[in-house]
Amino acid sequence: MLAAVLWRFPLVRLKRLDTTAAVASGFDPRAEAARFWSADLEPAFTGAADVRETLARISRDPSEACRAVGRSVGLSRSCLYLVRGRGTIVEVGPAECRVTLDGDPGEAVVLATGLVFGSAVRDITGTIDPASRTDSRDLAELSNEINHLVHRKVIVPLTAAATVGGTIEFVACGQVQGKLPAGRPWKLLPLRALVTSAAPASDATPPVVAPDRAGSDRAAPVSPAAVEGDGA
Amino acid sequence: MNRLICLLCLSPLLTLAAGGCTKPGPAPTAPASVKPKVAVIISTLNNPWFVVLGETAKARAEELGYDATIFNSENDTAKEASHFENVLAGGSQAILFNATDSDGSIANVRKAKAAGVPVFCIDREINATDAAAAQILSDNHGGCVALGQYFIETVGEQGNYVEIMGYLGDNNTHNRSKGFHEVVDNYPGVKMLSQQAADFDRAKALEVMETLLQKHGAAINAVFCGNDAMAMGAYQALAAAGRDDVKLFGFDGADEVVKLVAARKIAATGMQFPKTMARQAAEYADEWIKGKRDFPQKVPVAVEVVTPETVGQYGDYGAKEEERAPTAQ
Repeated sequence: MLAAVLWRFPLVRLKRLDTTAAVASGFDPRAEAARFWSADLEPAFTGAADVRETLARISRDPSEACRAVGRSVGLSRSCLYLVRGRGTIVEVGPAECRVTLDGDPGEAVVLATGLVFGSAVRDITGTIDPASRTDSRDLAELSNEINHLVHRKVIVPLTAAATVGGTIEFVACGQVQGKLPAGRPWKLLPLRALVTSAAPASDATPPVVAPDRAGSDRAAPVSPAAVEGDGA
Repeated sequence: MNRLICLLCLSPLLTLAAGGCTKPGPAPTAPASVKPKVAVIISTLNNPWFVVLGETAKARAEELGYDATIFNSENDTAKEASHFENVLAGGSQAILFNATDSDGSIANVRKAKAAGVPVFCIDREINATDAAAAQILSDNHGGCVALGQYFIETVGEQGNYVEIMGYLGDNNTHNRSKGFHEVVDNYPGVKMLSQQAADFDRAKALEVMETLLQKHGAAINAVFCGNDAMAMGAYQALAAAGRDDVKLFGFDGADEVVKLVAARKIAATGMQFPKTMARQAAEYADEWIKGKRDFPQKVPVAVEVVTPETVGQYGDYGAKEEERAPTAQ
């Protein structure tokens, strides 16, 4: 009897330190990340700024560039940019690939292909209100889940497809604190990438295409993740 | 800090003394020039970082024309509640508030709101979005993600570390630890030997670090502390044990830790910009008193990693003057 009571109402309850507020509050960060991806992030790709124009703007006047095409969250010296570009892959490393941009082979960016950390993707659209959750730990969980999606939907397929000499079209997120880093290319986190591998013109690999979401036969360029389905 | 505490202790005595000298007669009417009051309630003044937070908030409120007073909650929600009672009875028009407990402090903020007095939270979050007029909060999670990345760069992908956490009732403790682990846990060769709390307190962290050194000895390669006060306690213990090989990481941007980063005695810290947060809270309070009501409920403040390579940009609890200070968006 006593054992049963103690089992039901223990004198001491052990709680893991890493028990998340999200779990406690019923917030489902994985579901919210999936919603964010399709409802907020992908629609924002159409408004991404040209990467070469953005680089030129930041070089001229970082503050003006941030006001014009960037986003600063709260009180911050950093500015986030959503950019798009096209170029040639000139180097593939274990955690990044270097791309020279079309129209200016002297201008390069680096696309990160390693582990994804931080809240840049969560904050890039401006659609997640910091006050949308009473406990900021929920938003940390959300960042983590969004970063998992970036890795699974974009980084993994890009890593598999990237070859030196291939062409790439991308949408990416970049962050600048103050000025651009001197002497090295801007590092971007790819959020969509379309890779066409280098091959002789006669049997060049066509770009990855897939039916659009409405199920029509119209082929639309998609992120490499579409090759393996929705990825979610 | 001692001077501040002494003044706070003496203020009731001075008030009594002044009252004792007043000639009997009709109660004097308040002169027209009496300044409106703003209260600054801080979780603890047993840490230089919080002293800077409180004194900056007070100074900015005074610059804006208010009579500002600092109250020390001594990390005790009961004392904090008592301060709220006194402040509300004393006619303060706004409260600049550094909470003691993310859940336990909500009731105090609600009490002030019910009395029509706005509360502006600084640095520490309360788990409610309908109580404070605004909350100006460090991005603890993002800052510790960046710190975790630097940790891996510095320590490498093989090694053992211990973690000293802050006060477990505060969201900052969990956000910092979580951000750090989100990065470091991806590296199986990096092992956490122990994780203990020292309540953001330097003396407790010194004791915890001494115990951890006895337990794990030479196996410890690195230490991650949830704030700079604890990093200073750990630093003392490591120095006393002659362990200058251990890489130590803090979080706050406290001046003494920034100096030790410059001297390469501490590997890195996260700069939280306490002065920026405190000034913003005082300015929001001024705007409220003048009629503005539409404040963002939560204003995240970016945290920057201070390393031996970047330390030249920082000092005096923020970025140096030549650098652009964080700006409100």
